[in-house]
Amino acid sequence: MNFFREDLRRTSRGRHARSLIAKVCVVTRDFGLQAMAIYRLGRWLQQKSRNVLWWPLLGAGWLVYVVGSCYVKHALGIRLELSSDIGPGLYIGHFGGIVVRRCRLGANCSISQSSVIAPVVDGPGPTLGDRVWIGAHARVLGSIRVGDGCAISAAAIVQRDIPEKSLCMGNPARVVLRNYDNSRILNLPD
Amino acid sequence: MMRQVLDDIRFYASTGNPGRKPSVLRSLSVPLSRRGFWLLLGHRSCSYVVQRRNRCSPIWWLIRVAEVFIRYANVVINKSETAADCAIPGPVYFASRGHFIIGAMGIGTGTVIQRQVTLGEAVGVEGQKRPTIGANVWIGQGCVIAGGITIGDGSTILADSYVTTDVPPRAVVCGNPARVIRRQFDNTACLRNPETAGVPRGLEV
Repeated sequence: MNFFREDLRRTSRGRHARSLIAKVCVVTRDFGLQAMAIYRLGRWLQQKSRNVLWWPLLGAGWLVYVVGSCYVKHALGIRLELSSDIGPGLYIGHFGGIVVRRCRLGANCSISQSSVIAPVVDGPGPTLGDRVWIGAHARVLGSIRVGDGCAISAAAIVQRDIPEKSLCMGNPARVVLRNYDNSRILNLPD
Repeated sequence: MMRQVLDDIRFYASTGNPGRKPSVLRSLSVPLSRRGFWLLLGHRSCSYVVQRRNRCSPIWWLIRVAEVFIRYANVVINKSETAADCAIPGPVYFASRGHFIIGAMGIGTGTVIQRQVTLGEAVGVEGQKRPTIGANVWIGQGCVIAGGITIGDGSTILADSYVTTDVPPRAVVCGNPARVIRRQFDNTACLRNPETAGVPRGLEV
């Protein structure tokens, strides 16, 4: 639940969303945030389901999750699967064709439309550090490690490890700049 | 605006058999079957409303509510979003399978856009600008066109390319980052059959 508060703060940039009504307005307008809400609900339910005593209470929650995830998957085209481990404060820009599966994202990441973060056919998925920015149509595939503060440009296809604070682009992706500061494109709240 | 919509219907109906006058049945089936046409219709109505922003009548507020629903329908049906100030003067072909993020300054007449295409501003650049697409351009599947650039008339952009520089007219562009691979290429053959999304004839390796 705290994680979702971070997502909300990230999307609204800490400005408008003071009151509850304003927060609800932000969630209805931003489709990425709806997907995050459903994902966070699923993770919370998964965490609680380890204890057998909670099971009778969680049935309604799972029902909401199933309906909500169907909506997010088919109406918005965003697949955030529960096998992925997403840190607090993820920002999803736009919607459509997003796949996040069996991977590990750090805090305050940012992903865009049609980006895919998934393992190749089988095996472990990628591990991303904190404050990683991923552009539109970018693909991060296989069991690789992307360092903190990286920026992956639009339409890049990343299949190798990337050192921290670097900008990479192209197909196959190459590191174009080292010690790149991506704080401006990440748009973090102060 | 009605004339533009009628032009769109005629354009969508004539894909597949150009030059010939489309039959009435085919023209009637376009608004029902083509999702790209729905997207274009939604975009036209939204931009029509936005252009007349300063009307203070209650009807206008009703139209604004309808506009929100139209935008939402575009998201659910087409997974697409269009900027309301993107100028589309003539008919443009959008593929049926959606996933467009259209944020261009303008798109010329007769352009064919295949699925999963992003046109928009480059992120993290000072003074962000948006691309301008010329007439009769063929944009392949999964392209990203970003920044304040101009795509020339009659150029061909092959699938999965990432375009950040100006493209001259009638050029073929491919790759990530995109390079010009051929000049003076005639792309009327692939504009004629926009439903086929493969490599245009004459460019097979």
